[in-house]
Amino acid sequence: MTWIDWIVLVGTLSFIIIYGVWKGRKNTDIKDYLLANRSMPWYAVGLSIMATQASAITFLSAPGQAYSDGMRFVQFYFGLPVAMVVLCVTLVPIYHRLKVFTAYEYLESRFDLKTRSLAAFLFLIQRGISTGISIYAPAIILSTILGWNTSLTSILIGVLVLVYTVTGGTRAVSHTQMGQMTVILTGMALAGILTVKFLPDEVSFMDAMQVAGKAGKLNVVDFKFDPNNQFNVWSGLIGGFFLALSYFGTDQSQVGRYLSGSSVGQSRLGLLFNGLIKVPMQFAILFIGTMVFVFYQFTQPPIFFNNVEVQKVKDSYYGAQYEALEAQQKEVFQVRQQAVQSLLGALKTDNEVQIAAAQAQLNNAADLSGAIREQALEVIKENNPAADVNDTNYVFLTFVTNYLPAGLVGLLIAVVFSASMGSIAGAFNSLTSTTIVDVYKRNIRPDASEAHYLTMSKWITLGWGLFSIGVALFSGKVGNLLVAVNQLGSLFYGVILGIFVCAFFVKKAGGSAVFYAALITQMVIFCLFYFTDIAFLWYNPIGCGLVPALALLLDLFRQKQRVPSE
Amino acid sequence: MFTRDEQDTNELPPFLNTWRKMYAVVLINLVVLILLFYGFTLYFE
Repeated sequence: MTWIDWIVLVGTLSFIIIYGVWKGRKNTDIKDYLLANRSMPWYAVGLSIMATQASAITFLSAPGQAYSDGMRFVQFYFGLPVAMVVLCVTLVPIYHRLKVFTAYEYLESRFDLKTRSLAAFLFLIQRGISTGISIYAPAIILSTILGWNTSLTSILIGVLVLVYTVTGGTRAVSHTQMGQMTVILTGMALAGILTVKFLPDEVSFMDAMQVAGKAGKLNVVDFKFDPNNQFNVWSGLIGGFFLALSYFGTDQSQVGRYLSGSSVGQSRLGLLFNGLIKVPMQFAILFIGTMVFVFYQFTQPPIFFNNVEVQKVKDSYYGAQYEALEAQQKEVFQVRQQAVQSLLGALKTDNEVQIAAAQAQLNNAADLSGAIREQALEVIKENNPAADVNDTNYVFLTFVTNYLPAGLVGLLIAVVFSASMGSIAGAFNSLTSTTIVDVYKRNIRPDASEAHYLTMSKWITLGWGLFSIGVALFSGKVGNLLVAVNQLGSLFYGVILGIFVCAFFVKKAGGSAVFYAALITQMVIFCLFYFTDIAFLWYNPIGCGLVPALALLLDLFRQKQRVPSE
Repeated sequence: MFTRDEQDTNELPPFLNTWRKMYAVVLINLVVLILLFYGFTLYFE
């Protein structure tokens, strides 16, 4: 990074943090601290919802995912707009009418304390751990690419967020998230434009799309139903719908965002805004990844994008073997470049036979390149069995740091920090709300003063911050981090959503039946995770369906047991 | 007279006059996007 990059990075982050501290300086009670006194307009709610969901992982992993696997990941978000509408009709007016601080408060009025506590407990485990991963994910990537220390970077990200979340609560979080989203959207748009601009002069934007398409990277939609396929229209619409319904309807990190809306209408507009924007935004981010792929059809890419691992292997006994593979890769790259040029020529003549021949040549070159990469991964593994051979998360930042001009590199690093801080701040805030409202105020100190709860909220935010930084410091390799976070969420979300479905739609189900049904379902989901290959998105509908079904069965069983004794 | 809660629940959206129409816009937008993406996939396949 040059000094211009450092100025851009430090200036952007300082401005956002100081603005957050200033905006959140006047909290007087926990309604102010946890819900910004229910005063936020719809655009602040909408941007806050987006910033909480879109972590740094979203902006680092998604382009890498498109580079290696194409754009099909966008289907994961197809269920989200439907979930937004369902939430606007059902949960939003209820939460506002009951004037709750957290989603789980409602469960006690509907069932009992133990069911409320179980849902809050599942949320705290899931969110506490995933926030740690959200800190670790950008830290490990920034450290690898920029040579920073991973632990110090994790601590830096966590502490920067704590500065304004502890002092300013939700108001600070929401206002900083607006600034962060502006930085993120500007940075990503500039990166996208420059990626296309860096293509050779003779390659037009349309040519780039044709090359990406023929290489199978523009595979956005797949209508074929396959429960073991992570990303198709059906898993996206059904599984993604349940995941989004659960995440936005029952995860306090999101519920807290729209509960800060000044009215039901403002909260609804915030959610609908997200429903309109999210899918095109993800499409755009993935599209940048495909353009990076096209860029590397004309510029030699590394075999493996994690340079730290490459350096380790080069310095080892396997160094000569790895360098031989790099030489082979260079030769294959020449063949691939010729194939791409042939394809571009054939596309201009519109001759189907020539296009098919060039595409076959390109696919052969890609297969050869893939085979060399596989050998390189084996060498890396042999040298270091603990090495993470998934380099998806390094593709985009490697491109940014190697090719983008000074100033923009700093802005893109600020994008990573902003995205990371926005989602982590939302998470800290929600962990605090749930701990103070559902645990401390409900079970430990029900009659303390507002001032006491406000002070405790600040201490609890600090506590969760330190816990999450601790998780980040002890996080090991977790493969594709974007998938890992969603996988962790899917393990718990279905069950939490199932509890809420019982609350809203299964009038017969009592508190104990729902409580035990939720516990059994959670065990079933763990078993599915450990013993089957079912795609993780399906855990959400399974969990959501099983809890009400088991609750009804348990209720029926209990009624039958009562009859003979009566 | 409406209470604050009733006013909140009955609050009209700033565009299109009813919430139903707002929801329809979000869902139609999704369907249009999926169809566009499908066309995009087929065109560049």
